[in-house]
Amino acid sequence: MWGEKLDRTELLAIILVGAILIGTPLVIYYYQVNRVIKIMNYEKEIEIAANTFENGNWFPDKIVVKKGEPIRLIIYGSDVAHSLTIPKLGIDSGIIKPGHIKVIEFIPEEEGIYEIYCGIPCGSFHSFMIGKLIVVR
Amino acid sequence: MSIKLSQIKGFLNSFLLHKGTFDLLQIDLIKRLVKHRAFQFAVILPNLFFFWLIILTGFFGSPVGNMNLSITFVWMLWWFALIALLVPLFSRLWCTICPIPSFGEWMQRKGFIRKKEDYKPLGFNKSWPVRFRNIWLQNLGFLILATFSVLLVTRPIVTGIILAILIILASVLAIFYAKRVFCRYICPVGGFLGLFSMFSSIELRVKKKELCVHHFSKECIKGCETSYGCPWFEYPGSMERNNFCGLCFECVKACPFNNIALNLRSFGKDILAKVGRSLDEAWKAFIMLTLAILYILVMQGPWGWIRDLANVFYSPSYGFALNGIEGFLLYAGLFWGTSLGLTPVTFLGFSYLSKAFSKASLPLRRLFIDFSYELIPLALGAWIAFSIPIIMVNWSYIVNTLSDPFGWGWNLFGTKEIPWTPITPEFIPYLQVLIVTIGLFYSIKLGFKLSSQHFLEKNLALRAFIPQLAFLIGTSILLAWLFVG
Repeated sequence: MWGEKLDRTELLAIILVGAILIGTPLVIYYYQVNRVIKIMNYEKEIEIAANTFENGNWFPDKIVVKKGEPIRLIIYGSDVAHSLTIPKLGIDSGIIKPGHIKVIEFIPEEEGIYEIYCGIPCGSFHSFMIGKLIVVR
Repeated sequence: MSIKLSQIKGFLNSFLLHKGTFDLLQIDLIKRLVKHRAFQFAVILPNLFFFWLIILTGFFGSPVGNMNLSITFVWMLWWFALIALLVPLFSRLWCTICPIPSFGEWMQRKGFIRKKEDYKPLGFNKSWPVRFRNIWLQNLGFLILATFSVLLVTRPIVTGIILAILIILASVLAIFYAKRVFCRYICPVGGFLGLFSMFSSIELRVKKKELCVHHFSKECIKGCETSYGCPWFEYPGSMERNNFCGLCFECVKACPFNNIALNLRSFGKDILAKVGRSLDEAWKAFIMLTLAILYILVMQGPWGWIRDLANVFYSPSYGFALNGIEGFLLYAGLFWGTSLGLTPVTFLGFSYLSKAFSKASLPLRRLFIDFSYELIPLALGAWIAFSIPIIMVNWSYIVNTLSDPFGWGWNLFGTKEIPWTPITPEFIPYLQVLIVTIGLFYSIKLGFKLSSQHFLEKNLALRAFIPQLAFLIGTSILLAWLFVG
C-alpha cells in the first residue's frame, strides 16, 4: 500500500480512519466554541468562566471595573459545579452547573481589590480557586 | 445471506443431539462476514471512534467521573459488557474489535484491509524472548493497574493517559516484534480475558485434526493470498483452549478446506483441557479471585476508611487512618500480598490436604496447578457479581454522558437531564449471591472432573476433592457475606 499505488478500498480506509482521528476533535472544538459564543455573547457584558484550579482557574482571573458603574457579570460553569462569591461585597451567585450560566448584577461602591472565590468545594485545589475584582476610580 | 430454516434445524440437531456443539460458520451470513477481508477493519472502526472520544474526554473533559464519558463508558458500560456478557458468551470477541493494537498491525501489514501477494511485514519482525512467553507480564501489568484502580475509575485524565499509553506501547512493540506480541504477552486485559474465555460458550477449533496433520502448507499460520495467518502465534490444528485465540478469523480466511469451526458449546469446556496448564495461569486465577473479593470489599463495602487508603491523593478524616502515601502503601501491600501470597499459599495448603486425603503419589505442584483452574468459574462469577451494581446503579450516568460526553453542558440526544435512578437496588445483593452460586456450581462440577482426571477411582477422586470443595464453599460464603452481610 504505502509507497505503491493505492487501491480504492485502502483509500477509503485511510479516509475513514483520518476522519475519525482528525475530524472528531475538529467537530468537537467547532461545536463547543460556537456553543460558548452563543451562550456568552447575547449581551456585551463582563464574562468569566469558572474552571477548577487545575483546569485553569477563573478565566479571566482579574476583572477591572469602575466605581459606581453598574456591572453585569455573566458566569459560565465550564467543568464542575461552582459558584462565584465575593464575600466583601456580599455577592453569591449560587450553584452554577457545568455548561450553564448565571448572571449577577451589582454596583461597586468602593474602590479596592476584592477576592473572588468559588463557594462550592470543587476539587482538591478548591481553596486555590481565587480571582480578583479590581474596582478603580 | 439470511438464516434459513434448515440452518435452525441444523443447530437443534447438532447442538442438542450431537456433542453439544454447533458450528456458527454453518450460517452463511456469519461465514461470509468473517471471511471478508474488511470484516475486522469494519468492526474496529466504530470502536476506534469511541476510543478516540474516550481519550479526548479523558484529557479535556470534566474531572468529575460520572460526568465524563471516559469513566462512564469504560468503567461502567465497557467493563460490565466485557465481564458479564462478552467473555462468558463470546470468548475473546473483544479482541476482535479492540483498536489498541490496530495501529501497530496496520503498520506491520502496510495497509488496512487488503492482503498483498508479495507481502513482507514492516518493522524488525523479531521473535519475542522465550523467557517472557507466558502471562507473568500480563499478571504484573494487571496488578499495577488494579492497585491504582480507585484513581483509574474515578479520574478521567488517568483513564485517558492509560489508554494512550497502551496504544503507544502496542504500536512501538509492533515495530520491533512480529505480529501481536502486545496482545499475547503484554496486554493487562488480555491475561484475564484469556483465562476467563476458557469458561466461554464459544470456541474456534478445527473440525478434523487429521486433515491439518496431513496438510503441510499451513496457510493458517503462514498466511496466503487471502489471509495473513494467525497473528496470535497459534496453530488452530492443535488448539484445545480459547486462551490465546483473539477471534480475528484470519485462519478461517486462510483454510483451503474450510476446516475451521466457530462452535457453540457448553460452559467451561477448556478448563478440562489437559494441555497448557501452567503456574502463570494458576496465579492469574488467584489474582482474579482475590481482586474480586478485595474490590467488593473496597468499592462496595461499608468501610469508607479502606476506600480512603486506596486513594493515594486522599488525606483521611478518620483518626486512625494513615495519610495519603503511607495509607496507600499499606493498601498496595495488602493488595499484592493477598493476591500473590496469601491466597496461593492458602490454596497450596488445601491442595496438600487433597494429596494427603487421597494418598496420591502425584507431585503437589501438579495438583496445585490443575486444581487452580477450578477457581475460574467462581472468580468470573465474583467479577460479574461485582459488576452488576455498577450498571444497575449507575446506568443513568452512561446515558447522561452520551448526550454530554465532556461534561460541558451539551445535550446532544436529550438524555443529559435523566435523573440518577438505580434499578431495584434492594435486590442487587441477592442477584449477586445468585451469580456467585452459579459460579460455585460450575467450579464444583469442573473441580470434581479435574480431580477425576487424576484419580480414576471415583472414591479417590472424591476424597481428593473434599478439601477443594471446602475452599470453594468457604470463598463463596465470604463473598455472600460481603454482599448481604
